[in-house]
Amino acid sequence: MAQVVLVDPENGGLDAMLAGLLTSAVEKPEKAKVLDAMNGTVTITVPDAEVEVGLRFGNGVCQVYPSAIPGSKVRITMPSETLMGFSMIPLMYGMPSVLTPEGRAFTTMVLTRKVRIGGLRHLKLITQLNTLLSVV
Amino acid sequence: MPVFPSEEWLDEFVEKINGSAEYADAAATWEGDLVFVYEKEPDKGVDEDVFAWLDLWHGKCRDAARLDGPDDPRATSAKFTITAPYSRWKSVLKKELDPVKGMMQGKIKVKGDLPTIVRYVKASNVLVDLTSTVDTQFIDEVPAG
Repeated sequence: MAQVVLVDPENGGLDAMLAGLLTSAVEKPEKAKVLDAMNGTVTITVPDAEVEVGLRFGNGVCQVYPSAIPGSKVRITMPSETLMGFSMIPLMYGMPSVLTPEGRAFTTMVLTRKVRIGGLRHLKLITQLNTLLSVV
Repeated sequence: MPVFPSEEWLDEFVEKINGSAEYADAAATWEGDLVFVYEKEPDKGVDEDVFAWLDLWHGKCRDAARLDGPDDPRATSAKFTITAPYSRWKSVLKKELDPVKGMMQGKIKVKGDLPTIVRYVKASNVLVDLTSTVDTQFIDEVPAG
């Protein structure tokens, strides 16, 4: 059964926020299935807030760390404001939909390298993560 | 000039909320109350935790109160609780600390349904911006006597 574990509950920053979002997500059976199928590591970096979070997926569990996971398969870097708005971007096939203004704005940020995504060859993991974080 | 944190300051803040077209628009579908907790810092004149409760509904503040403590039913049942030490709130009010970054850094703690918070980020930002429009005197800057 899909489960989200906040590794350091005392930290209470972005790690707790993401854990809260993911926990709410996996209460829905269709998103729990997504988490059950995920495998790999993701590090999210927010330079303007000087915060990093690591996500480790496997065996139906997501462990949320208050720091980067060295050697993460996927590395996402984006400003705090973009990250907070990311969950509200409509998705198409698990990626921000360029058919919407929000999706186009996000794509522009990727193209101008204000948002950087490393490990694109792990596209499945990226689309699964996007799906879990979406609240639209 | 109202002193932060006080009942008078909260009243002024409520007036700002209810006079804001931008907030009314951003929070048009928001339903739920929230509690701001200003944690005590006795060396700065805040001797006990202060609980400010706001009943926010469809872009307006229907009611607000300074609560007696964490056991007040309005505190225990609030949809959201946002907690930080007094001096952090002071930094937010003075626009020295961005509240979103503060939350990500764990300097400001948020309790409540996260998906709802991210759906209403704009409303939250407007709400925080409104705090800085209140003409404020900070309790640790009030001249003695």
